[in-house]
Amino acid sequence: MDTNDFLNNLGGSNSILSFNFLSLLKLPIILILMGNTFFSLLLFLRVRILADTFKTPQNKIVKTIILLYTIMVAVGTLLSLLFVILT
Amino acid sequence: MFTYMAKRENRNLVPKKFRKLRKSFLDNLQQDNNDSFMSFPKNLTFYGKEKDENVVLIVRSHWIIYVPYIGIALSILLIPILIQIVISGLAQSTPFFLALFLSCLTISFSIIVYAYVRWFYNVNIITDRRVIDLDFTTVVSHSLAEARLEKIEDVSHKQLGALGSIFDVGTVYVQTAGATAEIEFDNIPRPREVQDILYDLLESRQKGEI
Repeated sequence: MDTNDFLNNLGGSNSILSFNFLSLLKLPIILILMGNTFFSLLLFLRVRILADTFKTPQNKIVKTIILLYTIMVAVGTLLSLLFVILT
Repeated sequence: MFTYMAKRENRNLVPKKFRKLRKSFLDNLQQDNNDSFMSFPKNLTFYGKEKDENVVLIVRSHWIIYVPYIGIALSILLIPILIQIVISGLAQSTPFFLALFLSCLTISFSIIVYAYVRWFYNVNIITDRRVIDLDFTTVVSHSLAEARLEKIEDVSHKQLGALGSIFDVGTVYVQTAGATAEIEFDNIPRPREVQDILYDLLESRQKGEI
């Protein structure tokens, strides 16, 4: 094996290392996405309870914000999962 | 977002029974009202409110307390870029980068919305009969503490640190009789005035003026 072959093999091993890193990152991302979705649902439910405890005209705005947020998180999570699967 | 709704409330409509009082707190109440310090809010009720009970003041934590949340949310947005720098292979994988970016975006958004909801529902209510402390501690728990004005024994406030001095932020402690836990109004604006308001209300209540 000459010097050029040796150097080419070094390059090859780098790409394997990168591929492993990406695979390793997939699982934590999926778990974080699931956790975030669960968090958004819990926040949505908590706001419903708190809106009954503390009633103000502004509650409507807060409820709308939370609803939009929950939808955004659901869509974002689905898209992220799709991209993770495509990788 | 924190000050968006400030002008929507019809504030400073002092109820009749308070107009006859000659107390300094009425002057304090009507100055610099905002969403964190709002006197005589209209159309505001809470669970267990009595029919002829008037809400005198609602106080929320100062917005400066929630600035770290915004900092954390912005930092999370930098994570995909940092990972791309560290892992060379990520630059070749656009779908993975997009997935990472979207994940970080939703998490950042979650943090900001959580901070807003915490600010909105961490509310302290002072009525002409009692004080109420609604604490939104975590996403799975909240607590509601209340004390009748007659049961209040002592009111004190503490202002700590540079932020307290710059933004006039502090914590008001309401000590009640018996084994009931102390009520705390955490990191509220104008703590000295809140203490004065509570003392004047206690005095008026004891004299039977309200």
